[in-house]
Amino acid sequence: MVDTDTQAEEGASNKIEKKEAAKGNPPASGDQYAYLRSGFVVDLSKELPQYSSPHAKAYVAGKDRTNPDGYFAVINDPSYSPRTNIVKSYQLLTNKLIPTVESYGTVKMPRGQPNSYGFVYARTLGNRLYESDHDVALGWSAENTLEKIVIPIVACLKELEQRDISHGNLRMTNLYDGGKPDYKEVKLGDCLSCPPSLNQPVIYEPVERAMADPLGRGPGTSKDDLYSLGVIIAMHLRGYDPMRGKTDDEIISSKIVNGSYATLIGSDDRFSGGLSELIRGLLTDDPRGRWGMEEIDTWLDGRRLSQKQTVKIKKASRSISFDGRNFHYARTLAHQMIKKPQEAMELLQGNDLIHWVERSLMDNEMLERLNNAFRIAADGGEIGFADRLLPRVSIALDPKAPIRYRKLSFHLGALGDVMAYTYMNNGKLNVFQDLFQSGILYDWMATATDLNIDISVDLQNYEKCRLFLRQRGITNGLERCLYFLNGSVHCLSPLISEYFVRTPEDYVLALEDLASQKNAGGSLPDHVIDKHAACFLAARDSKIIEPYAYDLSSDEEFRQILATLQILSVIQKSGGIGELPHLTAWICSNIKPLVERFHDTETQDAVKKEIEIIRKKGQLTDLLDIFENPKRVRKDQTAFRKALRDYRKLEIEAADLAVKLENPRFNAEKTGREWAATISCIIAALIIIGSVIAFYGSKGPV
Amino acid sequence: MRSKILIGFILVVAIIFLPTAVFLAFALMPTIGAFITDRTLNKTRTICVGALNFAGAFPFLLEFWMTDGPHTVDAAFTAVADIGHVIIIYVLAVGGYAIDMAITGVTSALIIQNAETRLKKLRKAQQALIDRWGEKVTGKYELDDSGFPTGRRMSAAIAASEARKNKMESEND
Repeated sequence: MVDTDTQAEEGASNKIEKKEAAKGNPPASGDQYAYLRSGFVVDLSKELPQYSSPHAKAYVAGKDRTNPDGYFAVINDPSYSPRTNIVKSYQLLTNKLIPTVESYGTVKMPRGQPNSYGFVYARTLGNRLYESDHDVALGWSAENTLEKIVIPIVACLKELEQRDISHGNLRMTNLYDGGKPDYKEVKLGDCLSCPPSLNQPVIYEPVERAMADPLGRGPGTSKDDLYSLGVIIAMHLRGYDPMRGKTDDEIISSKIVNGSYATLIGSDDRFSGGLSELIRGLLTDDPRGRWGMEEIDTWLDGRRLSQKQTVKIKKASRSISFDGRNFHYARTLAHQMIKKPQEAMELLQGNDLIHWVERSLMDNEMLERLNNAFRIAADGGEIGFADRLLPRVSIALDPKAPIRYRKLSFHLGALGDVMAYTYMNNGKLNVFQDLFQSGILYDWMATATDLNIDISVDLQNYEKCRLFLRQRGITNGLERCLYFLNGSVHCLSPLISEYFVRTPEDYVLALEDLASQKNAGGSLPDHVIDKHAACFLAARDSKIIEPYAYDLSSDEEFRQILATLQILSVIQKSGGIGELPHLTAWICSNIKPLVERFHDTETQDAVKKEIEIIRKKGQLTDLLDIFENPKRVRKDQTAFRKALRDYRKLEIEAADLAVKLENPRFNAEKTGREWAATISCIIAALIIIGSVIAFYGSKGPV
Repeated sequence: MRSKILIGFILVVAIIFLPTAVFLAFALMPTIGAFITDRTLNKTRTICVGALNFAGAFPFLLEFWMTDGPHTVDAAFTAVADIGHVIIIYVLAVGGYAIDMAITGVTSALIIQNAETRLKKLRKAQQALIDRWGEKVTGKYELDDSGFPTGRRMSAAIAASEARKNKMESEND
């Protein structure tokens, strides 16, 4: 049963609890304890090797802080993305073969060790049935295999398929007895802590997936799980292992040349109960011919099914020598060539390969592809010629094989996982920039289309990635491609990568926690949302960031700060997250350019006072309201325009006066003389009038 | 041409009214002198001196016109040769000079003082605007749509202002 607390933690409704959790619970006593937000405690001193895998370690876990028990936690290697994108669907599964996820999330490690990500399962798996994936030949009876292996696992895979989940971790060492030595059906171990097929030895994977790097195999389908089931059935039934002591390359070569069935089942093994038919169906190398759930149901109903005839790959009449070995098949040659690029280039510089394909293989389509590969690679000049040629030759010789570029070998569906791993280990994504620019992905898809391979999803993703790379701005570029292609990877922003943030809400809570720690001692950067965070948010929920992406990419500081505030407040509001006093304080410490957007210094002072009040409340929305108050903004702008006009008027008048004062005597005297002339004229007029009156007054009336 | 016509007209009038012309010619000697030496704009000094000079001569001219007796050039000479008359007429002309100097000096001093006070007030008002709204209110910077400086000085506006100043200076000269 899923723990109700855990459900609440992951539910969108209880965001406040999340916030509380982000602050971090006090660690349990003792340095051996790690803890999850939900309250589960992991005892790092008690490893459970039976539940561990090469890239994830399992420990005893529980809810009791003094003596945790009853659960086990699988803590993954942080370099790999756990399958968080399918956890919610996984939790809805009712099949009892798989362990129930009780909790998952960031695991806070003791003594300042880097945090990690983990899954807590109910401890119902029991003991591991087999300690090795190699050299397993058990010779079980058909009935036993059918009852304990086939029927329960098929039922489980059917349910997984209905929820569009592939298990990706079906192998002998991941089978358990459920704690009962006389088990009726096997149990399946963890499949969430690592990318699908990462831990699978090549024997469990169809040949095209086996040829890829373990991380480059991609999410896989239910048919890939059924292939692995076919391998498990074969290992239970067979009397001996024909691949005993063989290397991975030899196994792959055998699968290519002899087919999977012959690789797994020796010629002496004969199975009763029609299981041979089932294994042949499940191990069909062509995915289109491989049995699916429908065929298995038909077979379980007792009806016989006709096997699709396996198309044998072309064998050359004469071998070609490469690196001291002779090859008759183009696929095996391609697989080896890419591992030894220098020797491969020596071979390609002569015409031996083309002559071999033309005369010995006599495959005109392959020859055409090969010629095209040479032609396209030659277009770019001598620099990087090998990097352009080798992947194209690989595609030409084996179009179904993974894309091989430099040291990478991956299927398109795994590109996101490969990018994330490369970035986490090297801190760079340059190789993928070259990959996208080289056109190799496009060439692979063009060839796949010619061969009627369904690549519609890959093509869509590729076009979107090209768009992200073409467009400028903080939400575009390789980082956006990374988060777009990998729905599981956490936000790799250097600021909060240790928090393993996988949702926008968790991102905000991680920033709050970071701010609270740095406020106690340390410095915080000016820019809260960096390119990784922006691309992460854009990929996880574009509505949150796209309206503000332009401002966030702007060179103008106030635009960046405003956009940051807008984005974070949208997340706080939509996620129902409670107070964020530390994050608010962090933003307030950089908010000066935004305050200065008000023209009026009196308004600025008023805004500063309001900010001080809101800073303590921790509500980003309230902070945003200060700057998005239309009335206040309009008032400020209107008053500023009036001030501009007033200043201009004063300036004109002052300039006029200044000009006059530059030659004061001239200007003032001019006016003074005018006044003097006027006064003289008035006095003269008065004298004249007075004289007339005096003259006629002295004469008496006429 | 116009001045020639005017001079011709005055000569004709003077010949017709010769005794009056002789009287005024001698009485208004200070005005003629002021006219010749006056370098002021619009000949304001001449107006100043002339107005009072004429006012001083007018009572004697009136007496000359109105008294019985021959209205001849000799009579005009007699009237103007009276030392008492001459003193009154010329003292008033000197008064004209005095008014010109005194009023001009006082008025110009007042005007300059007023202008300086006003300029100080204007600068203070401008500084108050700058204190409240920042340098951007001066209009010396290019502003964006929201009224904030783009970081570039408004060189074209400054050039226009300078041109305006130069134009005003040249007009004054």
